[in-house]
Amino acid sequence: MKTAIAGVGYTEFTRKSGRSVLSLAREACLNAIEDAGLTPADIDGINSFSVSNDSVPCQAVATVLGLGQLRYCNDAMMGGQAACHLVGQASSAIATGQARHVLVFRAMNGKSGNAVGTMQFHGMGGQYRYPIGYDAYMMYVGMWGRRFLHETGQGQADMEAVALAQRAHAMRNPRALLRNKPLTSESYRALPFVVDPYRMADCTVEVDGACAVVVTSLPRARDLRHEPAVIASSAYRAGARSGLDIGDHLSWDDYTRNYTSWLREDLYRAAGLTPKDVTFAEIYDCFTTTVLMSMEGMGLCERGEAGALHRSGGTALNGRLPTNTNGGLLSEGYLHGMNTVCEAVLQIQGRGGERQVPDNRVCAVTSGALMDGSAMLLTRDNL
Amino acid sequence: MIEPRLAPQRDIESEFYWQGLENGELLLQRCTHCRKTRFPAMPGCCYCGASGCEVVRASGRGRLYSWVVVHHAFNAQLADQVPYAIGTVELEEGCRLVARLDRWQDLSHESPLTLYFVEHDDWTEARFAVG
Repeated sequence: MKTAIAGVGYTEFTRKSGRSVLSLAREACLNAIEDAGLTPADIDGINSFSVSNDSVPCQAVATVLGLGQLRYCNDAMMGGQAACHLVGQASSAIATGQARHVLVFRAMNGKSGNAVGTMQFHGMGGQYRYPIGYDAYMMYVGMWGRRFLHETGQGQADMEAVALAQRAHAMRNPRALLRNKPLTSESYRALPFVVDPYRMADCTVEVDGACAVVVTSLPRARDLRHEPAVIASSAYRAGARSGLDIGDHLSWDDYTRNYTSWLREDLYRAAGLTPKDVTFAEIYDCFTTTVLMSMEGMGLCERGEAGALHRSGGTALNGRLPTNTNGGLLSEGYLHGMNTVCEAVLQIQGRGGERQVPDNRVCAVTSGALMDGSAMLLTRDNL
Repeated sequence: MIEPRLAPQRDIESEFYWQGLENGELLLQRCTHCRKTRFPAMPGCCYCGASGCEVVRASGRGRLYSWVVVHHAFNAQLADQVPYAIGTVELEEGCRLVARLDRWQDLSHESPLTLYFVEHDDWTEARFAVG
């Protein structure tokens, strides 16, 4: 049975919500339900993800939404790798007849509360990292990023091109936290390094907020308010030797290829599509090098060419592959990739407004940066 | 250089490794089945899945696979140490570890590295000299 995303909901994105995470989750879910043309009584499944207890359990959200019985529920302890994976799991629950309408949400006070960027991930590998000050996620992604740039012949100019292209998209996005903060080459280069190779503009902007989608069967989605965003395929992959914990990469072979390299063949095959069929992309972007690495890993451009694609304007709205059309996590706000999924849905449904992608037939969406992650191919209906 | 005021949270698997550093040795596990060395210490081989391993003493030589330079201390205790470089070291024995480097500028990929030891109050650190 084919499945689709039928509705999208957001809260405002702010630096200080002044609200509980539970309240934010509830609002985003209510908005998604209403957007789909459903009522809370229609929802019988819910999943979400959190890092180090920065969110609330699904049962709490179900309770404050006044939902009836849940047939499917999952609280994943996962970071940015999760969003597409959880939509895929919701999709499986629906396809096997276990549930009919499933909410997938992410909620956090990521700026005013616990920020992932400064969290400690002690795990079993942490004893080798914390004492020497190798202690922030930015450092881990940067370690891979530098090796990737070196082996693919790319550099700071390519990172800059990603940051600039996405900030330009954000200018057209009323929700983007950095919509009023233009970024130029001069202003980018004037920024000091935080963790070399990254400047502030190479990093996501932390945010308080929530967003959610409603997943259902394609036949049911066709009867609802908006055009269905068809889930043509989804995949999760953790590469071999993914390490003892989220910060342990010592057994990982190749820092220039992340999970996208490993899941891409299955993803396209399951959808009956190829990378050349993709008309726009929403790529998980905790840092600029992640966009470059993941686009190449997904086969959206040749190895070593993602920077050139950005520099030539190829990821702009009028380019050959509009990418991160909401400004991405870099400029819209860091909701751990759930907003990456939501933007893809809005674009497929033709609701991008000033930032609508002209050719919105097939979207490649990714979730994650390093050893593990997930991806989806979303398409217009009746392609 | 000011001492970091953090000590490693040692466990049953890693105790031999930290003891080894205190004795001036970098000790690694090598799988008795597939012969690959691995890091960190773990109860099963990540390459072949086998259970048995032996402990070997590393030469202390390696090459620089990648690095980051930290300009902003995320842990306030380390504010007086920035900037500092963390390198991913590819040891001669075939496995990798992460360590502080003795400098943070003029670094290049594949630079030869040499192990040395830095004594702290209750632990010994493996650090690498570049070039």
